[in-house]
Amino acid sequence: MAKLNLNNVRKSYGKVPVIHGVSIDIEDGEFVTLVGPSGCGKSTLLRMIAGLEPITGGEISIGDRIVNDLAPRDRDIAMVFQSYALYPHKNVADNMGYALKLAKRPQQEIERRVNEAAEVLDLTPLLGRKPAQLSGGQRQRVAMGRAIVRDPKVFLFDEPLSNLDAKLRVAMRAEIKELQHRLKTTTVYVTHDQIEAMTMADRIVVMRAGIVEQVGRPLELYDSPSNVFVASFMGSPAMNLITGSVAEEAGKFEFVSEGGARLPLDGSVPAKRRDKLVLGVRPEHISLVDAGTVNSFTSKVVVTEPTGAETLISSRIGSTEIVVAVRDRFEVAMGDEAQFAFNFERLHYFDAENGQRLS
Amino acid sequence: MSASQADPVPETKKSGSVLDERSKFMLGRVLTYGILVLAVVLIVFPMYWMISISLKLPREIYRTPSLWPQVFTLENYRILIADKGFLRPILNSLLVSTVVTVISVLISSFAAYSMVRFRYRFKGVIGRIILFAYLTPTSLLFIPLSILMARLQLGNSLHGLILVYLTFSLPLSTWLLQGYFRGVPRELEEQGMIDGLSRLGALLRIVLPLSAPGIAAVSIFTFTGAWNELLLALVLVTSETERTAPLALNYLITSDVLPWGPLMAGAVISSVPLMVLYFIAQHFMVQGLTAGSVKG
Repeated sequence: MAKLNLNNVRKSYGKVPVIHGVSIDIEDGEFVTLVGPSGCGKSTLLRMIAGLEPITGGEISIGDRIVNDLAPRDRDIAMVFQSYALYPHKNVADNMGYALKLAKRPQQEIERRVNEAAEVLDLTPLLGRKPAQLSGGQRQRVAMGRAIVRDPKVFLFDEPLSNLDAKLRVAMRAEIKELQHRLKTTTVYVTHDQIEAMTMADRIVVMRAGIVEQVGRPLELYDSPSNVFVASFMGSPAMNLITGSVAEEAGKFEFVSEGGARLPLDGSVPAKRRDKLVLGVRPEHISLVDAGTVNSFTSKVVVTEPTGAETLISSRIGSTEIVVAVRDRFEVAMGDEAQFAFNFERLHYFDAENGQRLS
Repeated sequence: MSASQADPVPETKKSGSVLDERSKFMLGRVLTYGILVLAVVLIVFPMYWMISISLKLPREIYRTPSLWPQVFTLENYRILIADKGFLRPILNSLLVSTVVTVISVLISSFAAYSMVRFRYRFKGVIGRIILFAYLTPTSLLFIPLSILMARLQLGNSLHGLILVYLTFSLPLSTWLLQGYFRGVPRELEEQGMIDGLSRLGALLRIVLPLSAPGIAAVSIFTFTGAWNELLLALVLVTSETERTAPLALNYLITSDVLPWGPLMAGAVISSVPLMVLYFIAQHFMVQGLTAGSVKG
């Protein structure tokens, strides 16, 4: 167990920079996810921590030791690959014990630790099998087991669940979280799935194009995203973002969208950039109300998508399509007009020019 | 299940042709085996002929070509080994082929690994040059090579022969191994390095074992190439003690006299090491060794 510090870490392939100075301090025992769209550099960053990719600039330290120039084997880390990377010519027990064997630990100790890990992950009956004889979920567990057998300073996960089917993924998600909580090993977990990031992490690092966009606790990111990218990336269905301006008339505020739709607002509108800003509102912070309610607006329903737990209503505000999530069952037909209202306390405002949060 | 049971079972149509399904199946079988037997005969008969001639007396060889020797004799083998000293060339051939194979596999493993895993300048060009070197015909190179070997004081020696054979075997071995190494997922090596191996260790303990079919194929190819090679040996080796097996067989022929008995006995003896090698290597050539390592 150890702290993990990244200090202005950079990476270029030839002249092309891919990581532009990332600094993150990860506490001892913390579970941090790196999340972002494909190609944002999250896997590269993880591989740099592992020592599989050389570092162009900056400093990575594990514990209090700078590991920039250490080989992967000297960093005391364990990694779980997306493809699991099990040695096909070794059985499950040998796969799990290989690192200990290379570290020249006594055979008895290797057996004991492999058996313990197998017990934890329900792999005991499979110890004698070869990877080819295992199902996807079982291979994933072996890869996990191989990591925990070593009791390393840091766990690194590179999208370990993306090859599993949806149901298994949800189950493994909880299992990994529980396991990490029990072992209290510092963990860096890379995923492109924001739900995985939200549900598992103590803290989330949102990345885009080699830059850290925001670092924070899951709900912090959800409730106050620092820019348009984080706002649209975290949450499913995504936050509605409407570009427009704010008009004030006799102390009453209105949002005028680009398509000309007028939406009532309250006084919490930020003072600056009123001429061009982005209004952000999550689907669950818009509600269906009765006609005639104050501070409501009318809009045409384009599509309704009932998912059981909630119903997603697509509607059009000016030129922007918005999604509204309602918990109650409303019988609204496509093409009908409906009355909506914002939850004013949950509105977000961003600068339309640079995408940064205004309030 | 219940749904399909409820469906009416479609009636099997009586085929209008003269042959029913079973006869068609049998005919297919007969044809398949017929063609296979033909292929086996084509391959095995020359070998049988070689062995049978090596066991015949000269008068039987030259007069009546019979399928089966009327009198079995080991006289041809005695002449070959005792009178012509054929064991020496066999040993020379074994030495040359083994050394060429071992060195070839070693060097080409490293070369292929570097081509597959590392990034460096001119990699593509080097790869193409390697293939190009293989495509150059031997007959175009034997004179420059013999001059080169003479200058290096390696003419008329097995060392020189080994060096020359390596120049032909290395490009192909490197090329072949690249393909096999590419098939080993990079993550496996990386996992190995995280588990405690150095890069060299990962190559030796993970990549090479998983490329066993490739190593076996390359070994067979190189060994067979060196074992059967005649042209370069003919040019480079002059003294009797340094002759390889094909060369020694060639020297059994004096002007227009072909001593078929001893020649065929030599061919039989020369075939044995190759047969043993193929038998062993076949065991390693089982494909699909990396199955289950990573999810594709």
